[in-house]
Amino acid sequence: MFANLNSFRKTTGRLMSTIISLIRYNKASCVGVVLILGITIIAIGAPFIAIEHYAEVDIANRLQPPSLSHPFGTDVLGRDVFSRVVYGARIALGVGLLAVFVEVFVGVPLGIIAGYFGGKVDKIISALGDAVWAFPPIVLALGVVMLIGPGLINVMVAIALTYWPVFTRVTRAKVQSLVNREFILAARAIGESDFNIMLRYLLPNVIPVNIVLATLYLPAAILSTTALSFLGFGAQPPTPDWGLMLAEGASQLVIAPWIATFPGIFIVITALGFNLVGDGLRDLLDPKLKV
Amino acid sequence: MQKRGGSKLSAMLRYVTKKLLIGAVIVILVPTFIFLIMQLVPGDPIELMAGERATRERIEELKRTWGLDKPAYIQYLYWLRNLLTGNMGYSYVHKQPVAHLIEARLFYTIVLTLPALLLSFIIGVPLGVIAALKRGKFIDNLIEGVVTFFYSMPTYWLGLMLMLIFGLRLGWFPISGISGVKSAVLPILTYALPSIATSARTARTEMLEVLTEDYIRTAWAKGLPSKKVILSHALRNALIPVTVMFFLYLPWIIGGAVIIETVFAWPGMGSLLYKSIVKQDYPVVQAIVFIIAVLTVLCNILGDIIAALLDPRIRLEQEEV
Repeated sequence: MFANLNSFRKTTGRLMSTIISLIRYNKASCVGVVLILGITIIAIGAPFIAIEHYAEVDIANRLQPPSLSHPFGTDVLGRDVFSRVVYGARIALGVGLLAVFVEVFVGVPLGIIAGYFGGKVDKIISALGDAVWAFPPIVLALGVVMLIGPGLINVMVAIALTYWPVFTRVTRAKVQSLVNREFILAARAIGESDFNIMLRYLLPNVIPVNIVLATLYLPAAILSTTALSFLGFGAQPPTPDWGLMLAEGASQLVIAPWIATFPGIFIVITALGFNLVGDGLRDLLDPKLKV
Repeated sequence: MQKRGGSKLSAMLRYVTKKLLIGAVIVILVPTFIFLIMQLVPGDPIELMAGERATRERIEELKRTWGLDKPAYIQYLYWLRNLLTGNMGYSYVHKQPVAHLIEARLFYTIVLTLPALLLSFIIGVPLGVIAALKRGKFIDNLIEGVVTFFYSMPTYWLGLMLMLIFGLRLGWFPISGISGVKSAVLPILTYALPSIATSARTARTEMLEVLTEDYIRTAWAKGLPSKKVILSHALRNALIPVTVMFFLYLPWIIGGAVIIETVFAWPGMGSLLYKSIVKQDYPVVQAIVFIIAVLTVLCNILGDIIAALLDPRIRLEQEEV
């Protein structure tokens, strides 16, 4: 337990110093950190930043162009687009983080098992991953959504089930490069169980690379879940999901283009923030990593 | 592990046969899986088709006509038998053979995807290579910035914004549907811009990696002219993984058609798949997914073969499955 805690502390310490050097030396990542912080503040402070509740209908003021009282205009039901976009930050970040969490939770253990045991186990896990990965994610996710029904959480699960092979593939490669190193051989020699070796010796070593991957695949998760919401399989009205808002705005594009414009800008800002930080983290932690 | 014997060609033939066999299994498994999903999905396509006011008798009659009164496994066997004879079934919604439907729409999807793919290769790869050669300089930062921007953009939003700017404001192109060559421009751009970003990213990464290899250092040390080092040593090797990536992403691009064609009301395979899912038109869904599965398997094999042809270091026979 102690060794575990210690390595955990070491990892978080290393992570903090990584973020600091990232901000200091990489201008693009610095911009990314600012964007992520901005979106996070908006998400947390949504009730204070929003002008009104995201579902407040005001038919008298429908389809108003941007003005002082409605900075992003109003939608077809007279709801304030700005307030909806602000609340939408919670959904985008929440769904994105959860999806990546599930991806890590499924992908990393499989990667460690495949890399550690090798042989048949490895072949089966890798073949499964390759098959899932080769298939177009949107089509695969649509299949899963058809099975478990539409909805925000279901879409998130569908996306996670589509993207886990990335984490498995990279973790497996990392573990393969470690299994014959002295510290693993030593652990075997003193009679550590396979489970303990995987949990206490291998897992801490694959954390950094998976942090890079998680940062780079968070935007992918956000883009894919909003895409499915856009198609009508994800969030249902009146949820202020950015993808759903874009779908509602698409039908009003001619008379009220602001409805579709602003949620999209916020999707780009969020995805850009994580991509910039992810790229910087990769250059620092694992420059040879291909994603 | 490593088997010796035979020329590279025969090794490749053996490899391709094996991959094709595995591919055939996948190609059959995927629609089977989809079939199972459709059995489990709530809702009944016949009830959707008959409308809310249809009588019980009418629904029973329709079920008989479409063969849906039989047990699921019989339906599945029918479907499989038909597939082997090239018959992909009959659409509940469009009331015509699925093959006809797809045939009419395949062209429209190719019209969008092929130019987009070509553009992403012709523009994206040089951009990535230039960025890699000028690493850390202004031009690299500029290319990286623009690429990351497009990479972070949802395609459907890009499509809507292109519609808004070039269709509604400037009035240069029609915003949806098909009316002449001009209406293909915006959907192609919507496909191409993110694909250009993706291939520029990949090309840059691969080029940077190749530039640090020993054989490039050797080439410089030998005093070869920089043009020769970059073009015939570095670029040639960096292009291999880029080309392979293209084949691996081909099915993904077809997947993107679901969204882009829906945004632009483009009558291709993607929008057909979307509408068929919404209307539970299962024979059509099954057929399109089957085609995508075939395409995925073929692209994977082609990618491997091309990598082996271009790179003498890769020997396919070593890849035991």
